[in-house]
Amino acid sequence: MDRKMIMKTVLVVFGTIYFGFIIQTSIFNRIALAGITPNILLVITVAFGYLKGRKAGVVIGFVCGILLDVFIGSYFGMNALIFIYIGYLNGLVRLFYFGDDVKFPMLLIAVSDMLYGCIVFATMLLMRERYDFSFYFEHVIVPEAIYTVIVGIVVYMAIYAVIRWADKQEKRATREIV
Amino acid sequence: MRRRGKLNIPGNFILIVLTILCIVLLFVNYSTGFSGGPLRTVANYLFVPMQRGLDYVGSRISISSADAKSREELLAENAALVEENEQLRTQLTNTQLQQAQLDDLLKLYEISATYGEYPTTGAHVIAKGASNWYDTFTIDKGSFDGIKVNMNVIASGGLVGIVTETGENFSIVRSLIDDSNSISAMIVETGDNCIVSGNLEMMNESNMIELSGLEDPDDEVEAGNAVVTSNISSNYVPGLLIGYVDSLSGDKNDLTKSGQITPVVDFKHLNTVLVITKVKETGE
Repeated sequence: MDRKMIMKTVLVVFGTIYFGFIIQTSIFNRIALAGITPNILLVITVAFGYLKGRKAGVVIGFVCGILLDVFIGSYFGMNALIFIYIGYLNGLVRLFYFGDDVKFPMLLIAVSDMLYGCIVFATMLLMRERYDFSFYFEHVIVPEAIYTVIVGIVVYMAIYAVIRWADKQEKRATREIV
Repeated sequence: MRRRGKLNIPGNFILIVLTILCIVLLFVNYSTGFSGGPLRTVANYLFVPMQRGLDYVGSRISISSADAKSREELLAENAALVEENEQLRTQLTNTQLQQAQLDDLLKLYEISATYGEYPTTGAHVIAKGASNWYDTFTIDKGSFDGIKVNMNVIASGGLVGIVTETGENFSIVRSLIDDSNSISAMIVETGDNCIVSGNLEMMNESNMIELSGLEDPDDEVEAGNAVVTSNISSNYVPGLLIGYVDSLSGDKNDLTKSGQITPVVDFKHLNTVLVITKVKETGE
């Protein structure tokens, strides 16, 4: 029974990541606003980290990051490294504050996306000497964060619903055994 | 209490293990160029078919939305088109005359190195936008179709980028405008060598790419000159058009110049590309 439950969880999680990534690369690139696409994989990492805790955040962050790395093709491992810590930090936040409203996760997504942008900028600064932070902040980091939050509301709600459904199933399964 | 069985590993432990794994991956990538390996096969069978299907559906939707027009709209459009057709016909005659003139002039300039002489194969762009910081996209042909790493990719008359990874049925192309890209290039009119590199900031601001390290002591290069891939480039076949010089200014060292290039390819609306199925051999 336990193994069946784990299989189900893994399937649900991978399904979410799968569709998230497909939507990000095949649909949103067609409706990109000002050349910016929302970072749906980041939303997934934040959502699982915040809703399910550090462990889930770290593992799912790793999967999402590796997936991005495979499709970006340079500095393999970079995105995975950043996403692990984003998942972990969101899991930490859960220990201090956890509510059922949607406003706080939106804030988390915005902050996480900006953090992601800043770290990528820092690596660019190291590798290729780009110094104009204010430009990147204004033209990439902030627009991406805004777009990601708007799309993120929907994605977060969907993940929230899926997790609630999975928890209910799990509870019912344990009750049957008892 | 939830039953978790044997799977009770602390989160901090996973964090540390995965962090080390990522750092190892980064080092391996840096030293051997490893990027994905078996994961690419997974991507090949899981993601690429879906992306390909969605791309197909997407292109069908954009066509069928054009179908849904009323009769009045169509009539008005038709009238406008007939008028435009007339205008275009006159323009065409003029252009043909100019073309003949241009051909003669090009012969005088001896620009014979166009990409027409390379064997190419067409491919669709099926996914892009994995990140806003990198400019890479996925095409629907891979090693099964004979695509190899370092093959050059062109579209609508100019260089688009280079294949950086191949799966069985897909390849990843790093575009010319990616911030980490740099190419050894040449000014057609003077034969001077320079470096062309992608620059996210310039691309965002004015749709331009960066040119640097141009040695031009006699100020011969001017705006409008064509920039092509040079014959000394290690990965790019020579003579592919990159763009036209927009502006130039002297560097602080008084030896070289740098400036901006307008690329010939519209990178925002890439749907089909051509892959040059010949890898440059440099004997290295």
